Amino acid sequence: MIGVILFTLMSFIISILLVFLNNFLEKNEKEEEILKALPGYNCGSCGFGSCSGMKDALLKDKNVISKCKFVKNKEEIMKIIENL
Amino acid sequence: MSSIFITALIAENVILNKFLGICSFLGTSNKEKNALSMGICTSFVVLSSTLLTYLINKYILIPTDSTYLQTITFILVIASFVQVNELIMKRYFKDIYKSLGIYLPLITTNCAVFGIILTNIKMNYNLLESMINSLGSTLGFVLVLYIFSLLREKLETNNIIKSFKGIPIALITAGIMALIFARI
Repeated sequence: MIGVILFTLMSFIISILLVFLNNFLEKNEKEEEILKALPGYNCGSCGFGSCSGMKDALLKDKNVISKCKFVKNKEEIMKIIENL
Repeated sequence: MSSIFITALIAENVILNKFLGICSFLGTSNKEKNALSMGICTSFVVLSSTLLTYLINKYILIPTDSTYLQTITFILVIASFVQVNELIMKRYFKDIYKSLGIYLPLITTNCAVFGIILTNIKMNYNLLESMINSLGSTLGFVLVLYIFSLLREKLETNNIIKSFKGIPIALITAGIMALIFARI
């Protein structure tokens, strides 16, 4: 009987770990996509230092995209963030 | 120690002597690259689940006197490692993930994986011995898969009678390879 309980516990733990891993990898992939869609000049004129700083700010608030002076494909980036 | 390794590698090869894992053996050996990546994925699953199943068996199942749960627990461990493997492949190696297709999640039901782990438990190996046995078995798996994929690539360009083309000639080749391995 105790074996069955332990088995159930094990499956719960494993499934939770798998969900965490999946979420982590998916978020990672989305972040890379946003970075690719940004201009990539790393000019810092948006105030975040570089494009990866802009990406971190975008994940918190998508309206900061207006601070970037060079971005042309705003709709595409908005779409990626909304699908997050 | 080394006798376990050599036995698992050649004399009791998983594919050609125990006839386990024939499905992925025939399915993914059509290209050299596919065969190698399949071999590496299977090795990852086998080695990591050997470690975990040994620990679970020794410290959870035997003390609580519930060895009747061995099969289902091992399948749970194998399936979760296959999932981890699949997620990583999907994220970082997209082209291999696409070319392997259904055979990647099918490692779960690859009896070679389960067979190796059950052998470790049945023979009462300790941790080091079971790791060596798994390493030898998976290396044997990769070796046979690689040789077979090279042979199949060669066979595709050769002139073969129409009724033997494809799977039949591959099965004949596998039979001859099994004969050679049995006599080494």
